[in-house]
Amino acid sequence: MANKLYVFGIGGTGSRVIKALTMLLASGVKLDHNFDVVVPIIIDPDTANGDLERTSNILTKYQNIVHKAGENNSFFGTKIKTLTQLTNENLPNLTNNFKFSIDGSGQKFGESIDYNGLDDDNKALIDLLFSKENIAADMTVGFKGNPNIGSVVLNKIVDSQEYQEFSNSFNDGDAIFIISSIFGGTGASGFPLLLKNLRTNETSRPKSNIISIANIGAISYLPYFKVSDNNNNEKEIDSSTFFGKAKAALSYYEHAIFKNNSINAFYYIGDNANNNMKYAEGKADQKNEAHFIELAGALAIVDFVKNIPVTTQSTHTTIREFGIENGIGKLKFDSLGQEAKVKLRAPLSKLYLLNKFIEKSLSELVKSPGHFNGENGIKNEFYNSDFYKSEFTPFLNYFKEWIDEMKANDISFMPFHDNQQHDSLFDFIIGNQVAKGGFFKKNHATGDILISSANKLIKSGELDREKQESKFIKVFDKILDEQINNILN
Amino acid sequence: MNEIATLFEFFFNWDTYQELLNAVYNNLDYGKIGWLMIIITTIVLVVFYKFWDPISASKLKWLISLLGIGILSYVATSSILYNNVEIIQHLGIGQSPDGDYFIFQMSMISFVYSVIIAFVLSIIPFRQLSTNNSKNPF
Repeated sequence: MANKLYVFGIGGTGSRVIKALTMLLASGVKLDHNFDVVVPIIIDPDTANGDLERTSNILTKYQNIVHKAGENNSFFGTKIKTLTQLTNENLPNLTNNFKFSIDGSGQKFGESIDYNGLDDDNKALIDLLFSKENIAADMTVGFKGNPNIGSVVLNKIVDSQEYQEFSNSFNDGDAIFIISSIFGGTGASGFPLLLKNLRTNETSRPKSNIISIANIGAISYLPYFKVSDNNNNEKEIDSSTFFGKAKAALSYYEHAIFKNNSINAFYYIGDNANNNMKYAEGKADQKNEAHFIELAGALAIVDFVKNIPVTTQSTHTTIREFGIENGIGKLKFDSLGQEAKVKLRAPLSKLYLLNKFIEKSLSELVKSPGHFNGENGIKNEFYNSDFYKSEFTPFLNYFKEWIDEMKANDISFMPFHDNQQHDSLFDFIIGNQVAKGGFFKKNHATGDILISSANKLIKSGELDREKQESKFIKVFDKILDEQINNILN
Repeated sequence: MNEIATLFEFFFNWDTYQELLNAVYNNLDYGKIGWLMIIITTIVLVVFYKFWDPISASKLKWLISLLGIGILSYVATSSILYNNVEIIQHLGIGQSPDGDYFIFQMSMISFVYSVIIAFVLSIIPFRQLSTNNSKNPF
């Protein structure tokens, strides 16, 4: 039976890691142990957050591509579903866009706890626990690095309709992974609360007996960036507090999580926090550039599923860290450990090559008089279809943007050249040179090789019964597999 | 062979070229020229559609192939006619009409016919052999 993996992404970091996971799944990375459905759930009080919006768009496009192109491909080969799609219920209050609604998050913290309505004793207690700034904090943009606020608000998520539906859809064998950062507000407060609620066997909540003993993994991000502030004003998010907050949170996790063995696998990840992100308190401004360690976080999810115990009786917490072989200069595939290299190199290269082919060689393919454009091939109208123009191409643009952002960030992950043309298309993986030919030498790097393979595959009639969208994806799925193997071996 | 002869003789004034045309006919050269045109066209089209099967600038390369077929047919026709004893004798005497010009005209006619044959055979059936040029020329 197929299993489902529920991935809770808390805060901006959660959104960005889910984005990285989506890119991996799109490129053909598969989850082991028959996990063929991923259910991303983004928990972020700042619903207008740029990172969240971008991730939500990417997930929706991924789904639409799978819907039209079918499921039996390497590209987009793992199903991504929303809670609504899982439960197949038409509930008006249930979001169908991967976002988890949080009651009370769209107002000031004081309003959410009815501060003005409290009696004097309770007010005094609140004043002891929260500063005036905390009480006046506007939570429409998240908790702005204040986990003490977040822990109050996020404790309400178990009462939400989404949590009910999550519980209803959960089956024996399913697993949960939680992504959070330890140095901010939303993630630092949300992770322990969510874990506590998941591990509580509460009879009033459906299937909590199954959920409480399910395999749960998590990744916590240690500080990996600073926020820049050119105006030297006092800002609510101060990166000098990141390490202090991280230490305090780790100390709490030690007592509340690891000593109880309430989690099966825990992943730590971080980086020298040298790179500056533009200061943004939230909303559309919070759109941080993709970073390599978010990709490493997505790999942690793949690793977690791979190492899931066969039985759920294991109570031992496995702690893991991610390391690289060689961190000097810009990271490329050869800088990674063997396992990460094997997992990433072929699929990422394949999707990158597809993107480059569309960019540099599609015009050659479209005007080619071969079988690809023939009666049983891809019709010209396909390139004006919604699938191609509104789903497939924008998804590839997001992929390219993601790769480019990782390249520009510190530490830079730059596994590919970016100077290919149609005649040098295959010479794109740094460290894997492909002969571009000469006057008497055959060009082994030209996009013509892919065009010829595409024509051959269509001519074989193997895909005659497929719809246009499915045929298009399947053609490139197969021919790129062959070429990537040739390039890498 | 009569049919092939008609295709060539159509272009000549019978009274002027009777002797040379008869020389071609009597030496069975029309048959040789016809067969060579078909063989050359077949070989070049098979090479183009099956083995070369180019992707970039394929229409231009197809046109070049047709030109190649024409040139090969031209050369083949010239070679056959320059080995025709009666024509050689005619050239040796140097009488009118000009033998060299006659061979040039015959070779040019071969050129044109072979290009036409190649064009027709490209559509049916040779392009069916191809993977990348199944719609070349159209």
